[in-house]
Amino acid sequence: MDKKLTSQNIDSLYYGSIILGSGGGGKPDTLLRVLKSSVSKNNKISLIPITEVPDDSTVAAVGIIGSPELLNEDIPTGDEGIRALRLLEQILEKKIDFLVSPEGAGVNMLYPLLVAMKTGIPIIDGDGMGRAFPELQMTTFHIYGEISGAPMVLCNSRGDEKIFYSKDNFLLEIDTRQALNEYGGAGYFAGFAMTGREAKAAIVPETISFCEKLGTIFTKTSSYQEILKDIINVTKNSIYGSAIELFIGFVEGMGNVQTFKWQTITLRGTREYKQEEFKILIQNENLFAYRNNKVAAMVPDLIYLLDYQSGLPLNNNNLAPGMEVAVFGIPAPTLLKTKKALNVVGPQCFNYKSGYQPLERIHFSYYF
Amino acid sequence: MEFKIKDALKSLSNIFSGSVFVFSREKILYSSEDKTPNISLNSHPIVKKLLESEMPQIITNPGVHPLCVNCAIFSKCSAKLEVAFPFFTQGKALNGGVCYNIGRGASINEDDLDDWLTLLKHFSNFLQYMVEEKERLLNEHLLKQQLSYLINLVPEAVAIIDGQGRIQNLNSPAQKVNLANCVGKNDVINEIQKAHGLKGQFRITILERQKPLELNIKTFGDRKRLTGAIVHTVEKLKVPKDTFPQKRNLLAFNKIIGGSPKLKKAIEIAEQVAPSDSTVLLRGESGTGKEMFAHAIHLLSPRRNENFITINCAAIPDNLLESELFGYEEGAFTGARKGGKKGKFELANNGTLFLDEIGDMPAALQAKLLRVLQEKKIERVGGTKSIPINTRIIAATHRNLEEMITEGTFRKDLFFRLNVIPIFIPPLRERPEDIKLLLNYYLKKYCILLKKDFKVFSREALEILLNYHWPGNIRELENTVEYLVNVESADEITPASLPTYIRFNQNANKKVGIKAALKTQKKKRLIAALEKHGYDTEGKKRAAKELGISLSTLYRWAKKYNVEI
Repeated sequence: MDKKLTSQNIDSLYYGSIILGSGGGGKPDTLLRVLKSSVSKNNKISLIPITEVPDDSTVAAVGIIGSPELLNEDIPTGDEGIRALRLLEQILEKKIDFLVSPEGAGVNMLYPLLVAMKTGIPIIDGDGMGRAFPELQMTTFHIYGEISGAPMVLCNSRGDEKIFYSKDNFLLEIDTRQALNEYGGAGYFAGFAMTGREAKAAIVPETISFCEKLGTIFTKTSSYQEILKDIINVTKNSIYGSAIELFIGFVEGMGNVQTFKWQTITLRGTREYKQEEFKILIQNENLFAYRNNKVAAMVPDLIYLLDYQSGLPLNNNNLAPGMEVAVFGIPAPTLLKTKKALNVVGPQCFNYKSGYQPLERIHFSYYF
Repeated sequence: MEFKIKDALKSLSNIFSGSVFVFSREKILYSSEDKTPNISLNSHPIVKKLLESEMPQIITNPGVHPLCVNCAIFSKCSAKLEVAFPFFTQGKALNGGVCYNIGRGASINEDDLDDWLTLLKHFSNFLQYMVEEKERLLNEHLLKQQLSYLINLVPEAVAIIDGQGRIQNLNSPAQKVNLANCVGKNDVINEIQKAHGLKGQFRITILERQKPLELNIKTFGDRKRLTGAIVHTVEKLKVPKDTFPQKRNLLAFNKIIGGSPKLKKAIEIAEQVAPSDSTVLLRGESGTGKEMFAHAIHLLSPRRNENFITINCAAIPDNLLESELFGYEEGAFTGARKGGKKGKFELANNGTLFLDEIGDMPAALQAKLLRVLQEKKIERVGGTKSIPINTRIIAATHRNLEEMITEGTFRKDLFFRLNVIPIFIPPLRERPEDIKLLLNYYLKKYCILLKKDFKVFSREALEILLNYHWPGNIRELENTVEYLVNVESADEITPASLPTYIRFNQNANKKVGIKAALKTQKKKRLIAALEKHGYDTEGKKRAAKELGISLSTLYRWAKKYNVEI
């Protein structure tokens, strides 16, 4: 039974996509406005459970690649993705029956919905990451389906197009990054073509409906304590697992670690966390969290922030020194925590030298 | 036994002044001769013929008979008659038998030959029984040796009990924890006798050196007769230590997984009553998570920083329950600890006492409990002093207390005292939509506890697990997942790893047919629509619209499929 997404759901998806962005994934504010104005014209988006996708159908991913911040200067319309998609159909000599988000977070949660709405192609309730990750090969399409991103079509809003045929997803990532330099840092792509049968094995299911449920919490005005309770209720009954409050404190400093590509956020504890310190290490997304220099959470588990006063989720771009924020962790879906997945998206893929410490292991008595 | 068989053969050979031997395959097993002749069976043409034909053989004219021509002892043969009978089991010849070599001195005439043959046939049957019995004893001895070796490999303390309740074997960990003494002292045998036939496996907690010791008991029987049992300690998995302290109030309901309306309702009531001191009675089948609810209520109450004490009234022998609940004074009974001991009520003072399986509390204690609840004071066993207590009571049972009141096995006044706020926890079969969530939750838990890489369920395995009816509720589901994590070495749990009774059940389900499947499908759709739109009138109308049915049909479906609306 498919679900129709309407303008009412878009706000929820927006908030949810920030949380699943784990601090990164691109600020989806511009896309929210574009999507809301388009959906209000009575266009609806069909959201299809993966179980209802026929095995012999054709599925493809559509999304944004590069620096999503650049979208504010060159507002997307969805037509870029449609061009990429049509070109992909020509290359494949097949019609795309279902769309799937490559990364169910930030801008890539909303952009595929925009394309789905404009083309009328149903979108699968699921995605290729279950959160935001910085690189193309960090998808479950790659981990479980061994699906190649190629042929991949990359477009920009100026009408340029490039087609990539590198079957190796790591090489594809490098090739597309190179091309993005010519495109000014951001582009729109269609790729990861797969059959419905392959998609069933290769996606993280139910992430769009989870994102919507999670985001709905923030569409109602309520106190931090109520939001906390609601977040726990929604997350514990999902493929993720219960969210956990990791810290509350003021943003003390934000900076870069010289010679490394890491950025950091340092928090000084307030309320129950007075006299304590919290540090987050970032590479596009929040990847490692330390409370008093002890690991509190690490990738692939999600680390995200809420504005303590308003209770709203924050993208790292919204942070400013002096803000009081609450830090949360959400366990990643188990699909991202298997040995196979950790080889591609685990802490060692971000140069962490020790093994993965699951959120549920660090805070065992909270979870079990 | 070997000696006895040889004796029997000797006595027989004396009767007919000859020799007898028992053979199996190509070997002589026993012989009436003092020394077993070192002659290959091939040298006995009669045996060879018997093994080929699987029929009894008789040579009435030794030395002349065609079979004698190739006999190795042809020249030395002094037999008057040679007879061989094969061993049979259920009409099928075995590769063995008895060979009688009757000497010339035997008083056998042609007239009484038939009687002799009948007699020898009976002797053969008897010898077969003796040989088999000996083999059985040898096997039994071997099994005992293997079992003894095996139980010493496991870290748990294990006691093997026979049908009369006697301990037959103990492994070394059992000797260390003095399991034999625990079993005898705590009337465990009595518990085994009582439980047999009712439940094949159960757990009890006993006190050993003032510390609770959890024992798992598996009983074995032949129809209704108890033939033995195994008692063993239950290893507690090492729980990882938290790096950071946890906020106690946040620990309340985050471990109660599931979003079904019935469960949500139970959680809602529990959350509402948690801050008060009201007594709560948790009702629900075994394994539905009553203790987790009780703990969650405690964590949400102002008593959260005090003790949460649990006592299972069914698991502790009746004679121990009173002192466990109310404590005892020094010298209250033989073996009482010096200085006395605090009971659960005192330990839970200012905190919460969870009385699990309250329906199993003996009548005398029910009266005493009622008095304590009314007076808020306890008296230790053997004591005279009243000790005031401030304990919140949460009781739980899977039994039908109303029925027990009618039968006179549960006190009505105690029931009313406990039943201030009843909370009904639904069985798993009434919330099928939660099974997948619970499977994934426990999968993560046991991957961490057993220090294994994270695993996922294959689509096919998940399908089978979702179709299983989980009669043991969450406890059964959790145990199953623990088993699966233990046995599966790959990243993915496939149907091949599932216990056969679950896989077999799947086949049974398939046989139920399309009608039942449709019924389940309709029920699932109804619940999903109500979940989505809500249970108020507006919600029901919208749900009916989504399902393409009228409101009255929606009510009819709800009644038919037992969905509370």
